[in-house]
Amino acid sequence: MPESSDADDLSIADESALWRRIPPRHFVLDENLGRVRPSTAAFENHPDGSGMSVFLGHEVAAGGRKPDDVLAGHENYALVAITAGLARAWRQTIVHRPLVDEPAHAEVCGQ
Amino acid sequence: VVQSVDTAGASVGVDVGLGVRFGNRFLVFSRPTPEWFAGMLDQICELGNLQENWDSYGGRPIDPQCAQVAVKLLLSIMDEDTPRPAVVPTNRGGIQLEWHCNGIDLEVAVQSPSRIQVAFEDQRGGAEWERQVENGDLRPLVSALQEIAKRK
Repeated sequence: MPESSDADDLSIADESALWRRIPPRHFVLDENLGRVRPSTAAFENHPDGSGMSVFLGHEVAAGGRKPDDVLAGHENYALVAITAGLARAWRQTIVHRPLVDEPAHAEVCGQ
Repeated sequence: VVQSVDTAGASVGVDVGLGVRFGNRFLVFSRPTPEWFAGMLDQICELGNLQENWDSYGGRPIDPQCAQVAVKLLLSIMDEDTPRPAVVPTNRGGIQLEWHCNGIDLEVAVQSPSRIQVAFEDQRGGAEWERQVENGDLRPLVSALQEIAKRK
């Protein structure tokens, strides 16, 4: 069970997009799918034990920014999007945790 | 046999003649590795160059002991006919080996020098399991790889 500080923020709608940067080291060729995709290793919780960092798509847009803007300075990275509803379906919670330099930062919490 | 020693290893009497550099350490072998393994060894050793925050999300440098375990593991379970895995760093300093071919998804995560987690999914037969390698028992893993190779 998530800790109380990881309580699901229900103001984030199930349809909301959660964006995560994917470093080039986490692209793998999946011959079964016939394409390159992100490794499962790209979706781990933070090494310090906190949740998996994501950007809230609607918060990025509210700040007048575009998806490309969160990739600025990250050469050869990709950006993937999942919905909050998908994360919740996997028994994760979503917590908006703005950072000083990133108001759209959130965490997906759970095992 | 493979061990990891720091770059001062030679000065304390370790022969690094059969060693390959992994970051600021060497992986040292007691005998030459097979030719078919060279490409995978290169990929693993490249991970030794990853610095703190290599993934932009606080990813840790890769633990040389995890690299050592990954090398030992691959040399134990593969031969020249085995399909090659993708070699992927994990954000906690481990190494994940992935096969996604012939209708099978197999992931082997060396999470720490003493913890190896395996996930298997057969898209054709429907079998699916996850388990930790216990007591060095690699038989389920070898069986999974044999199934992948058999379907080539």
